[in-house]
Amino acid sequence: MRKVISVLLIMGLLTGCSNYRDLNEVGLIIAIGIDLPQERETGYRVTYQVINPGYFSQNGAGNSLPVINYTVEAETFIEAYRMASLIIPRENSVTHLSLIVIGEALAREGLGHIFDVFERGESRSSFPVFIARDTTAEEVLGVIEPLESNPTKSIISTSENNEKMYAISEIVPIYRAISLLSGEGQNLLLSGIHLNKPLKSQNQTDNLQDIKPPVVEVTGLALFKKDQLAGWFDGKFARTAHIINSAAEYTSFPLPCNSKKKLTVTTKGIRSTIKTELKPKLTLAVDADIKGYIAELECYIKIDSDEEIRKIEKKLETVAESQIRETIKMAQEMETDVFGFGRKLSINNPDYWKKHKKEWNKLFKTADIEVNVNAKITNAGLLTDPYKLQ
Amino acid sequence: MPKDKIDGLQLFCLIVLFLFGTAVFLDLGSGARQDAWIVTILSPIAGLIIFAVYYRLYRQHPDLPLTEYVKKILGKYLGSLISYMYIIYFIYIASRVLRDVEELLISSPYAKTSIITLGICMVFALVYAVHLGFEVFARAGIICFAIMTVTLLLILIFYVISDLIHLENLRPVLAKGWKPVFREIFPVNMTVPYGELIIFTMILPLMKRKTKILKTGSMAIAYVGIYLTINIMLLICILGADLLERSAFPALAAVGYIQIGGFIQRLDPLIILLIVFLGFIKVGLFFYCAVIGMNNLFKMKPNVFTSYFMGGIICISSIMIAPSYQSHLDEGLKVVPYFLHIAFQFAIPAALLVLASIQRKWKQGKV
Amino acid sequence: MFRKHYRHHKKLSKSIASNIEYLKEQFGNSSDLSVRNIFLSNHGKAAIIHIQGIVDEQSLHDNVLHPILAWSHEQKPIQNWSREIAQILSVSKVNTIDEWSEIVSGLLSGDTVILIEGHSEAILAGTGKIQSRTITEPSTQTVVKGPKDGFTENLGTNISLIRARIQNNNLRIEQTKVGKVTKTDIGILYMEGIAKEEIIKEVKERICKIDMDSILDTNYVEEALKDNRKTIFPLFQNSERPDVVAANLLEGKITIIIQGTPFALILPAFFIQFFQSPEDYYANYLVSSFLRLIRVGSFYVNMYASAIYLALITHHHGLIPTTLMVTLMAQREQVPFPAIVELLVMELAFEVLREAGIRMPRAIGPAVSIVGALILGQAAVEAGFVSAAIVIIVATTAISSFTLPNPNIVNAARGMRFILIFAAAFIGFYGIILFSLCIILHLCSLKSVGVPYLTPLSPVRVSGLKDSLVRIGTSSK
Repeated sequence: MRKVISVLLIMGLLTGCSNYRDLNEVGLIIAIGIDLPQERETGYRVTYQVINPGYFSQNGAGNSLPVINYTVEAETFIEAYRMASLIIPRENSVTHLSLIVIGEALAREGLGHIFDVFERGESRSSFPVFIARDTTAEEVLGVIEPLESNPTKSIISTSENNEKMYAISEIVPIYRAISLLSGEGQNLLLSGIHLNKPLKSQNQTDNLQDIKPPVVEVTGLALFKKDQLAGWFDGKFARTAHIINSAAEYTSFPLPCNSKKKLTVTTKGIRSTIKTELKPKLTLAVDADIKGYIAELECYIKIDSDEEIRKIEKKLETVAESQIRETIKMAQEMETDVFGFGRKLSINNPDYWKKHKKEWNKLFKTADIEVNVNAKITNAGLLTDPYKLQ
Repeated sequence: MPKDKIDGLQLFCLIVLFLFGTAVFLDLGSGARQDAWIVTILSPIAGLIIFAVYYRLYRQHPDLPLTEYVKKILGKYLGSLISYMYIIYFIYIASRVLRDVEELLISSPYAKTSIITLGICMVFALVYAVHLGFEVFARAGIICFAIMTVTLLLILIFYVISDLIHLENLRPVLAKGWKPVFREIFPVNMTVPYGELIIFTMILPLMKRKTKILKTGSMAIAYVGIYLTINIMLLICILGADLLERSAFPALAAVGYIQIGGFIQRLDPLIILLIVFLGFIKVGLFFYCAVIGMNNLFKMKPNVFTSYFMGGIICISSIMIAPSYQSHLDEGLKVVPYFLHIAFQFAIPAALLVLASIQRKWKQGKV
Repeated sequence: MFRKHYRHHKKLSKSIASNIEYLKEQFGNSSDLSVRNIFLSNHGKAAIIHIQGIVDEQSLHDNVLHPILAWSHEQKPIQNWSREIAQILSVSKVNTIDEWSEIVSGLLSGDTVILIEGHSEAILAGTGKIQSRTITEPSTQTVVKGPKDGFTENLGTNISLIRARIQNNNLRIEQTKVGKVTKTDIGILYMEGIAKEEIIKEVKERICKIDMDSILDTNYVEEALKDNRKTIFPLFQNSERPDVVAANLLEGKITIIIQGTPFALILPAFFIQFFQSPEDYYANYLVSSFLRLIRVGSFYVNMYASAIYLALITHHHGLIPTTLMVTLMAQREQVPFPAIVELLVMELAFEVLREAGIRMPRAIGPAVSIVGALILGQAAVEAGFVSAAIVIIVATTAISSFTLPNPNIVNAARGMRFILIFAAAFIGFYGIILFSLCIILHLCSLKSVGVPYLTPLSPVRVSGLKDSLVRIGTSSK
């Protein structure tokens, strides 16, 4: 008994050093937006999106908002994090940080080591990073949508959804971004987001009443050169970039059917391999295997024959090949190897890589491209031939 | 002599737990980058040789711990000095291991807790363990072994399911040749954890049966070697050599990536559970050996005072040994292996073995 | 005072009047001491003495009184009266005794004493019949399928129930009396050849050493036999079921049965045993293994759930999934107390309810549960005193405790739970893990009559593992 009491006493003495924090003392930061500062020369403008638990509680006020944004400008992140206590009434905690949005202006100046703090600190490093295209992170985080009232969750689920349905966007967790920034032979690609139309009023609850409110839209893919934003892949090109990186699985290809109308092939599984060849000239090769099925026919063709299917496959191959070619060309023009050809080369020809590492961007720009697409149509849904217009 | 007795299975579990100790969490052989797994697959061979030396020593005096037979071999005064130094060495290593555990804890989940609080809690539990005697400790070892195996297996399965493994991270093999590999093996990876088996010279006399010890020990070392290799290969595959080298606790980073179906995620407690369990066993073994060494040396009966005293020293010195984690690591990689480990783990035991064999030959010749 | 009277070895005197006088004095003229003076026509004065209520009146009349009176009419010369009376009494146990102490203890256990003028000897006839209830279904450790009989408070009945299950002459029963005041009969049962000699010897020695005035329940013996008194874990198993006792005897265990309680003590007990229900053996082994795992799981839930919850919401916010975190935060928003206070109050409230439920007359039990559920649960949550999550956690803890077949292990888990809650509040998971390590060490250090408590887990016994956390079916080959 004496022992138990003495242990309890010592525990009591040491409680001052403990981590004990009750839930209602915590301000849960779920997203951070990073922009260039407006009021100072250097440093960052950081927007913290903090959960408002009152909104979620049973007897919570109906007209409060699920999240609150606090914006702070400071020299460094931790400075800003600590300074945020000037305006945030609760002890802020980043343990549930689940999104980072970086303003385009900042990304163009260079990301530098801004991810360091997220890897070093308490937060986990498996949350995604996005670029706010043509706008600031503060702006993007400041919209409340009716369908998904939490903006952070809305951004993540929209892009997750797009990744599954069309593959323009891709969730890039911060640790992947870091390993691409620090590794050699492949540059970073990050998904972009922006508002699809300007906010009508500053009153957020108005937005909730609107049937066609301004919402966050996933748009394009930012190409980085080292740590600086070099340009954007839009729409199809963004999708194609993911096809090259084998990151796309489900997407759709509209193909010409007859002179006016189209047919659509939906893919279900794309595997591509990239290769590099040195002789006779540096050649970058992409082999893509596309599997898909016919999902829509707007013209009347009989597809019950092998021959017709093969024709469609052929069409798909040409369309995909030209898209891949164009996409790589764009990257070559921007002199940034976002597909990892350099890494492939460093594994296959370490000696060559060691010699030409420094001038890789130039070499990449002038390299030949070879694209080889192999398409396979597996079925055509529930129908064989479409209905006939009489 | 203490009358506690342990059996072969318990010895096996203790050796495995002891060797896993902090090794599972620290970046073993990360200096060799993606070839770290070659380091971990080769160093057990060195471990086996070391263990064989300790075993030979033990065969010469099967009923005495190291701190006692040193006196027999080297005479009373020199022997006492050496065994006193060994006790200090055990305490020092115990505090180093404790520091590792404390640092891991405050680096992630206990950022706001003071390091001494963590140390005091651990030492209280350890004093209780030492107070209960070694037999109980060895029996608890089996349970800990079972818990550890299940947890490690779970983590392994989660790594595979959550599709984190990128085999290409292992290539190219031996890009920089064998040199960095060997530089990693000797002395750092040979001394930690395998050289630390020196404490089993204190424990082997407690064995119930004197046979098959070498076999049990070798099996345990091989088991650990294989597991550590798989572990480091997985870490390379998941994190890449680059992050492996940068990260202070790669296992914690890798577990942080696990995300299965949006439900199984944030598995850090599993790692914390493991580190505390393993750290507890490892510090406990050193602690226990220091206590029996001390009691033998000063001819004291087992008493509470020695264990509290020793616990206090370990707790305080775990904080005093280094002002910061960086210098703690630096010491551990650049100073301790060369100045302490080589002497205490290799040189002295080898010298003792040679001396003891000569003495024995001489005695036989005389008779 | 009481003790003093029993320490003598006084012999009887020849005068019946002084003998009766002495007995009455011994019993302090107790009103239930019945002395019937009779006149034997062939012998003179005699007395038949018994204690009312603990003798079988029917048997006393038919088998003692009636034969003696009939015999007294036979005008035969008497050589040895005591042998002749012993012959004619039709009860199974007859002793001739000349020492007071034995007569007193005989009377106390329901025997009838026959004294005859001019002889310093008495005859003790076994007419004892202690009132006991009939065999009913056991109230604890109930099973859906399997034997329905349970022990009663009567030692003899209990032994007969076991004998009926094990019809083997190797079943040994040794009876002694323990308790200086109560003189309670206790029986030690074991299977010769299966139970280990040294354990039997150890148990007998420890029972001999028991130095207590009274033994009213198995727990008295349990405390006296314990290897380590400073433990909250039950070191022996209690059972009310003859089938459990029989099964354990056949496994080589020793059983102690005590007069006056329907609970038998089975020893040595292992930690694992407390998760085994007799039903496990009456069902398919896959099903019973599953149920056993559920029981082990609930034991840990009972012990750890509240501590882990507390650790999560006070120390390790990062480990809670975000959506859940938001819900929990919303729930705690209005709560005025720190989480540890909230949890402790709810746990204690539940303990109060549970205790009240046991003491409460059966008729108002449902009323209490309604009040408990409504007031404590719903109203407290709605008023914002506690968060709904805490109520869920405490309720889960409570329900899981009812899955375990043995109440003693639940009490152990309860005690551990409160310490774990403090450890968790103090330093989170680290505290929980360290305290769990201490529990493991403690369990490893425990022994039940010299056998390690954690057998077969540690030290490992492969044969034992087949029937530990899971039960592997026995093949009939």
